[in-house]
Amino acid sequence: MTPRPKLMLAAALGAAGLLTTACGGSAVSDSSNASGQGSGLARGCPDNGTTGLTDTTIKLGLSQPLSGPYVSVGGQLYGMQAYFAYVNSQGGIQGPDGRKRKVELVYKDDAYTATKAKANVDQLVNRDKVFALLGQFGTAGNLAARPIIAQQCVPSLFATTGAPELANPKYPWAIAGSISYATEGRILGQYVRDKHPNATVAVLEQDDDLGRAYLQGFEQAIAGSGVKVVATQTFEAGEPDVKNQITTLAATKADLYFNVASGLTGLQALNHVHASGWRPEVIQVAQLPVTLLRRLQPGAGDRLITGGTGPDFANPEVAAGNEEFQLYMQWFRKTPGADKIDPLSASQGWFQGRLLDWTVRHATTMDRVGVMESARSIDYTGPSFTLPGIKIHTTPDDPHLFEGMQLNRFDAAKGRLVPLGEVIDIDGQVKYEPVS
Amino acid sequence: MALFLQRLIDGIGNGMLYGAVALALVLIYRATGMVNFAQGEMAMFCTFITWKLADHEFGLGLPIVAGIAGGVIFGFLFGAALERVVIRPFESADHLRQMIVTLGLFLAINALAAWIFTADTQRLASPFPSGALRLGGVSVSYHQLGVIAVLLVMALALRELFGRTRLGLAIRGASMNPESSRLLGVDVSRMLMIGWGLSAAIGALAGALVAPAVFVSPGMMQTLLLYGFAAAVLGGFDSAPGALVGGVMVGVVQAMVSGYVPAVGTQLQLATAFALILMVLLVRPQGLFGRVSVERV
Repeated sequence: MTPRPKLMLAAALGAAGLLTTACGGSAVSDSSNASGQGSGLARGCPDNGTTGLTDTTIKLGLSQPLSGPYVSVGGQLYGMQAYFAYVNSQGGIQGPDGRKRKVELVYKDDAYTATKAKANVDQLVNRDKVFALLGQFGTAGNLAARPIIAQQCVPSLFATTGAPELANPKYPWAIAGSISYATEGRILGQYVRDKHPNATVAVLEQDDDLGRAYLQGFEQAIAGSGVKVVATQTFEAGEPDVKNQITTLAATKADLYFNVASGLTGLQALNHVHASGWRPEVIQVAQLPVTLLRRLQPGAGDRLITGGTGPDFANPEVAAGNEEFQLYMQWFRKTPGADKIDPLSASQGWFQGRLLDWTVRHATTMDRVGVMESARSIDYTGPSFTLPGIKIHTTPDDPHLFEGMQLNRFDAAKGRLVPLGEVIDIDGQVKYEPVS
Repeated sequence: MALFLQRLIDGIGNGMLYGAVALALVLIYRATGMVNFAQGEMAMFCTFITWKLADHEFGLGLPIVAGIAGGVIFGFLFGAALERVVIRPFESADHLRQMIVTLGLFLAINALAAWIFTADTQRLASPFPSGALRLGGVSVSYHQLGVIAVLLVMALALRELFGRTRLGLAIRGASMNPESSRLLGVDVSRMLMIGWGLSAAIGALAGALVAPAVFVSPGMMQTLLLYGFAAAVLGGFDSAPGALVGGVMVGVVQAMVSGYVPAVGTQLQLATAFALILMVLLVRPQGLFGRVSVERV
């Protein structure tokens, strides 16, 4: 076959054209200078932002893993469905125009791959015509889909990621639903600085933005104190074993071990630390929930400190005493497919629904701009799964939903978290900073 | 010095696990002449069976040794059944097509395990006592020692099986020259079925030995399978002891490089394994313990 120069040229031009459109899409950045209500949020938007709304329905979308190796982290969908079943049974979500709208949730599977997440968001926005995204899942997927959100001015509310990048003022149309990794790192760092002012710290760090964000926050908090990071080892997410790294860290005999590892790798690392005979106090990032900590080998969970934003619902007494959790469980049990899902991890979806409900109710106008402005001025005190003392609060300049945590000691014998001191809330102190 | 020894021991410990996977790969290669990409997932599935039998919270709560025995027996039946149902229709097809079938199996078994059991991470107890032997500044866990012992015995037993027994010879014959074997009265299909069964049983044992370190989950064997391939190629794809030696070499090189060559660090651990394979393949294409394949023309 002979190449056809004209056709190739046309294709190249077409591709270049696409590129320019894509870049142009992200240029909603004008609003970074402005702040407050009526800010530049609407500038450059294609329409008035009522796509996905009728007088009786509101259409929401999300892309998240529903298959593949990360399927277990996608429980939030079931929590969301439970909330919307609940709110629809009461007529729907009330908007500022006085109308009640029932929620239609369109969800797509991305198996936790960023390219698929982007394609899904493209479909949700341009074909399914959703009004907003809720709980869009994963750091990479959120960043990949960001240009689409920005171009079409679609609110992406309470995305399930703690990446500090979600607070980038150049992209005001997305807001994270989890505590920022950098904020958590900072709170953990403050604890170390206050409790062990001259400690040596050995760090195991996941070698990506997640790991670096934690470490950046941690290092900011200990800067200027006597706390010293004496060794850092990294690992790639998905590495089968981290024994080699732990051997190197154990040789430092540091006072503290900062485990910036989640899931399986996090558990492995703690088991290896214990087996090595090294007995540091362990500072664990909250990516390792108590249900997993219980699977540690005997002894490996002693002297472990970890933070959390919610009560320990793994403890049946705590769960029974919480009205909102009981309401959630009542609706969660009725949700199709929920019997294979861990109710604790799914509860996040319920709260995302609850908060969306509040945000729509408190919008000034029933359109995308109104709802997004409302999401950037949250002062929520209603029912939640958050500990008292942790503010649920955003401002146009500070889109971080949570900036507080309760530190806990892990009681390995009982398999429970025991609160350690008061809630630490640094609301308003966290500024957007790119992870370097 | 203690740190060096500790790294050496880490390397051997990890390497034995790679060797365990390699052993199952080698076995199926010798028995059927094909490379089975679903090997790791079959082992994972059997490990879930072991976990179901032994777990106190979600399973029957049997002693762990009984659980492993159950998993291994299930493995044999599972492997044999897969051969019978999925592989046999492709028995006369070329190896490429058979390999594609095993890739399909890889995906199917993975999804099936998540659907039947759980996609969550589960813990499996070790059959060996917890704790570690401490010599000077070096610690070797009893689990590591136990794994090494079990795998050594298994590798030697396999060598005996293939070298000295009628069954082993029949299995090898069936894979190397099906036509002649049939003429000699060997039931080739049956031998292939037994080969798959044995290989899956060894995979089940490997899975149960690996699980206390890497936990039980649908993804538990995926990276290990890569290292297992590396180990098998290094040791020579048709030698059982070679698989273990290959595994240990990959493990030790990894531990040393990540410990002492900071430029390589931990990111390139997998790359060091492949550099090793390339070197071996250039110098000794049949692997360290492999036999050069000779064909009569």
